[in-house]
Amino acid sequence: MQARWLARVVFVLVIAYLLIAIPMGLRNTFLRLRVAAKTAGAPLGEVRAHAFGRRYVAAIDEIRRAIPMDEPYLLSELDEPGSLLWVRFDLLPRRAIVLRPGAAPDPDFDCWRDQVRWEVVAVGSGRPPLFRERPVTVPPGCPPPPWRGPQR
Amino acid sequence: MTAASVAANLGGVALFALPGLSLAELLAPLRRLSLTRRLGYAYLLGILSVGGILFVASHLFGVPLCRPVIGFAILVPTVLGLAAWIGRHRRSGSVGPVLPARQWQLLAALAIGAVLLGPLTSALAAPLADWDGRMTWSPLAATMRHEGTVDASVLRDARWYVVHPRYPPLLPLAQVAVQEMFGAGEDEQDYRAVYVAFLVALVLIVHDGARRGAGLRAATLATLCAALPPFLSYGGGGATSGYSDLALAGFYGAALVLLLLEKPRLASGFAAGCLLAGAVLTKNEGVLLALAALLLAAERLLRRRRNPVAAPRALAWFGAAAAPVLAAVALLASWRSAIPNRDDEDYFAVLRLSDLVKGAFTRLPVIVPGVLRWTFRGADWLGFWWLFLAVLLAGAYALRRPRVRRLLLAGLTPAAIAWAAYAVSTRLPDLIGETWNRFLVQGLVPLAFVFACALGRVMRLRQPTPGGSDDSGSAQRSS
Repeated sequence: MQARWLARVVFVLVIAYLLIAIPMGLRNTFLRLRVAAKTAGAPLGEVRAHAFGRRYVAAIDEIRRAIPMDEPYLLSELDEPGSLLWVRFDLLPRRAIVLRPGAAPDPDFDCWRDQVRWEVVAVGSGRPPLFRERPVTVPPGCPPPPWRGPQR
Repeated sequence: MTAASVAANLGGVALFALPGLSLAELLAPLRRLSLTRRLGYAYLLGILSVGGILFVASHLFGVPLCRPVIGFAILVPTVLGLAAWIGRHRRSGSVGPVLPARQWQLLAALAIGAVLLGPLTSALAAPLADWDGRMTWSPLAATMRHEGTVDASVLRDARWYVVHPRYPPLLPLAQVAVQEMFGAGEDEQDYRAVYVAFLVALVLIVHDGARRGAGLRAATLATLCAALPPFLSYGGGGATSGYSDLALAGFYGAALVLLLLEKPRLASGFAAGCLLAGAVLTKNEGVLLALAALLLAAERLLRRRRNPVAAPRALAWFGAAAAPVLAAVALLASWRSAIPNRDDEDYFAVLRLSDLVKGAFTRLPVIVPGVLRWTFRGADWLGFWWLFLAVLLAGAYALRRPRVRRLLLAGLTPAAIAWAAYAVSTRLPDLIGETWNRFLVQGLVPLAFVFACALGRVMRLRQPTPGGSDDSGSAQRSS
């Protein structure tokens, strides 16, 4: 008798859960459809600007135009940890070499770093990254990097 | 969102569903199922076959990841399955009868469909904006696509910045396949629906598994309950994200259903083994989950050891399940061997038994409150886990069946992995918040099976029996 009573209570709980969860799920769908309707047919750049901010997207587009697909860039971030991941994703498939403050010197790494022409600094979420072209030098004893191709 | 991007996204799902359906036609335990019950398994098999063929071809034979090769990887299983279907169709003359769905079943399906339309719309209308998708899986895919190989130079040289470079590449390869086939440009994310489809597949597998243990009515109700938590759709690890947890949950859950609920035959073992191989190639935890599934299968095997007819068959079944897993582990190890690890927690490397044992107990005061907070967080789960506990309490009699207990153990395995990770992690409170919900997702199919069985028991109990007594004796006891 007790088991049947418990089963009835639990069954009522199941029905109550469904009565709450189904309308909430439908509401979530409705909200997403409404947002989608607003951006329907919009060009991709507009959708990206809507999601990440116009200034951020403009800065990313400028960097993309400057750095060829096959050239790498140096990447670092200011105070917000993880912001470089955001920028790195938007610049793919360009390869990134990350500058880590306080990292131990590594001759191989240093050889490459000085021969990279571009530097990008991630500032923080939604904020446009900083970007500059840097002077390229070939440190003594270093071979040309792979992205330069064979020396003529 | 444009018509072209919607078409490309849905086409991306079809790229895997079609070869998957064909492969399901070749495997007897899946072929017997109705189309809706088969579709979840088929989608996962499609992902595994296309991604797996590309992985093997690129890594072992140096074949480039380009459109003709991807087309070939899609075409081969599709044609094989189609030929088998046509051959069988000719012999049998007609397809089996399709049972009409009842009104309440249709209503439940409609409700689930309407709820799942939300994440699909969201994924198609907005660019990828979640942490792991942008950090791990999509960058790996972009790198492989750009270099045209799974052994990209960016992965193999430690000077290039890659986060988790040794993470299993099945989902990135699936992304490459979609992006390449539809010629996606720099910002076109034609793979987003592929991730949403993992949730659809998961829900279908939850339903099929639950139906095998609890009957149609309880299974439908349990599936409806399990499909509704917002975390599955919109959370960091849900369908709108680029995380791999839904896929892992699907592979692991589907394999468990075939391994522990289907009759132990060669074909069911092989199908389960393929799905476990998919788990291994999807995420780091996959290998541990595959091992746990095989251990549970071994326990089932031991129960049959004294039966002279069943024992050899069961041994073959177990071998057929273990072989694809071993092949996947070997392939992954070979691929990883040339990739220096960096920017990765690498729990396996830092794991020491003494730390694990010590941390597992001394950290309980931090782990337990964190885990409870996230499990019962209303915004993510809408009280689903409270309901789970209540149903389990009222229907605890269902746990007398060995297969329900086995599935409960399987469902708790991701939680055990989480506990081990939390015991050795250097950033504990954050890690619980970032990962616990996803571990719950990974165990969803077996836990939903247990939920459905207990719910079935509750539904039987609440109805008065003719004799006036509780019907504890009438519960199914099959193992």
